[in-house]
Amino acid sequence: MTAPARRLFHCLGFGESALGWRESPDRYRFFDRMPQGACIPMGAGLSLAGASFGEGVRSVEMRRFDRILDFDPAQGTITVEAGITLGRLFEFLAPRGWLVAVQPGYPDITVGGCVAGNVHGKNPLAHGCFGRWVTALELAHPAQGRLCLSADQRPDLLELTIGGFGLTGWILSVTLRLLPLPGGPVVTEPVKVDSLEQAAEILAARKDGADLLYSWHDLAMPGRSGAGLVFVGRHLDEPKVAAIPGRCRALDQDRRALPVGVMNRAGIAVLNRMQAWRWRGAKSQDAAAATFPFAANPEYFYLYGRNGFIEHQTLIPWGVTGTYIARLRRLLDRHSVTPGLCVMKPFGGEPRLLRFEGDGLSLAIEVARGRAALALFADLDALDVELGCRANILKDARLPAAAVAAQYSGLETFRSRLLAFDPDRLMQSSLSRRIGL
Amino acid sequence: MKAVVIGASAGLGRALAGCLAEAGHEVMLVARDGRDLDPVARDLSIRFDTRVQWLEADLAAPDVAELRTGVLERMGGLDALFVIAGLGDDADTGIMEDTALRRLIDVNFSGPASIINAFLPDLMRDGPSHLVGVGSVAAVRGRSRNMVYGSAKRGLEFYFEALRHRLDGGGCRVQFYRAGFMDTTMLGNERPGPLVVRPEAVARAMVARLDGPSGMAYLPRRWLLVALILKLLPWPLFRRMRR
Repeated sequence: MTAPARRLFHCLGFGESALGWRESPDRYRFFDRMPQGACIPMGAGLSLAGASFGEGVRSVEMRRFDRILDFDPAQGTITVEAGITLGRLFEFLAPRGWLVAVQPGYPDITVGGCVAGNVHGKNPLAHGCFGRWVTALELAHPAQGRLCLSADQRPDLLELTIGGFGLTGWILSVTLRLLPLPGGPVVTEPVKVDSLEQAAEILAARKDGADLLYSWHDLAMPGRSGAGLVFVGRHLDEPKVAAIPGRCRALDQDRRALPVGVMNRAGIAVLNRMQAWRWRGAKSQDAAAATFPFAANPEYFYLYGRNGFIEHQTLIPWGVTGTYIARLRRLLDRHSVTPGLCVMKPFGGEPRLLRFEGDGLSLAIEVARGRAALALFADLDALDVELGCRANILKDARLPAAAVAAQYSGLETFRSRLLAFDPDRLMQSSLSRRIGL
Repeated sequence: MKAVVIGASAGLGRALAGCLAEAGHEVMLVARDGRDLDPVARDLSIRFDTRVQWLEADLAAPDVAELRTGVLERMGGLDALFVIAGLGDDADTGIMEDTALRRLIDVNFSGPASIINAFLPDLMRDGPSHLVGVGSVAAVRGRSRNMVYGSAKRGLEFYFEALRHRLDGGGCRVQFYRAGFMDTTMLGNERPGPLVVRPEAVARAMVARLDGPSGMAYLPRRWLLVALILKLLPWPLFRRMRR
């Protein structure tokens, strides 16, 4: 009765855009209908690649399905509808002493999106990725109806849906295992490092159970040594109820605030100095601020200007981290590109299908979009293949099919299992078409 | 308080049920599809630790006797009836299918009138009670969009005025709201414009005004000004407001 609206979609950073249709249903009878043409589920629509839209594709927003269906404080599990945001879930769980183990840094992200992207949090080595905490989910597919998936029911389809980019259908509800939330603040100690290599050594050595473990680097300084900070954060257990999050300011991925970006080498150097000054000593934050660092300052993303930015995150096997870093440094110089953000995290988990998991060190860089950036990323693709690294498909808006095919041995398995489940391939997105699914 | 919310599966009705549950009231959710009501009931009971139940009823042809029996059996009475349900149709611009047109009239006028009529004996009693209805700013002046919807809502508003007249002096407060644009499916799938508010904001205002005056009011309040301008606009200008 209400027609879908035509809309030009962008991913966060403007790396990928498409003209499609948008629909925001709020009743379950929507999923009874057979859709006309390709569609794709959309959570918050905040991913860095075109995972929730496509040219001529109907994007079906799940945000109105955001209810808590079951909560078991004895077992530490919760069942929620897929459209519930991490922020809303945090608001409910924190006062009751529980926490979702794996959370990306922005509170408007939906649980369904976290499952479809199998996202990681602030310590993927200790906590793995989101899928590890999913025990069951309900899926609706236009041709297959409603399906309950768990370790006992269609485990193959559950595996395909976790990190399946929404291509197996609508995720309706998700059951999650939770972590007990200590009552006290998160105390983060920044450790100063002189180079990326030094940080990699520290991250490799620290395999104890810190709650937060990642590093941040400044690549704007001459020589690009990557001086920076390694953050080791711990949740203190004090008898105090954790605070609920402060006001989250909306991140609008369609907004291009600054006509000209300030993320050139000089601008980045200034920002990096400010960041380093902010972290000159240990910091104590409440659980909300530590969980959602981006909630307070979405403006950061606007600094890149009209052209936006693109990100490349690579999972480097431990043996070749030194080689990778040296080659990256040379490539940055050759293309005269300065990353606005460079972050490293130690990773764990099992590299199955198209999941960004496995033992190694992840290194992510964010750069202003442009010809130089694209040339740099193309060279990084080749470097990834040469050194046996894998790029995060969900974060790189231009990652070509060839790179995915060369880096992911699970691509063929993913494709054939998806085709076996849905021969008509009803779910499609810019991302799925780009990587040849 | 024991409250019945008609049209509680989504939009303003769902938000209102949330505000009532948060305030500790016992709530009965009523709408067409139990698949939508069950998650709302679970969510509200889990979050606010209060009793929330649901009953299915289609406003296009409600079995009002059965609905009333169900409500009285499960809740043992009611103190407030909220008639929130509404239905819009993109095709409501002049020539539409007869079944769709009738459904608009049924869901927006006939169904609500039947339900109110059935529950009236329960609301007309000694203690205080509440009857709250929701109309639309689309019913301020007849326009070439939402033609039947606006007419039906205008009819409902007229019925509420009559009810207020009838119940005056008793314990039942009769309140009616002309609600402005909200971020619900009634708006279609377009991006919410600057005048659009979250249904939660309107729901909160409705609950806060429960013990306020009877009669009609605009929510959000700024629509009073918009409606006034619209009402005073002379025909030669008003006729140009057509898309």
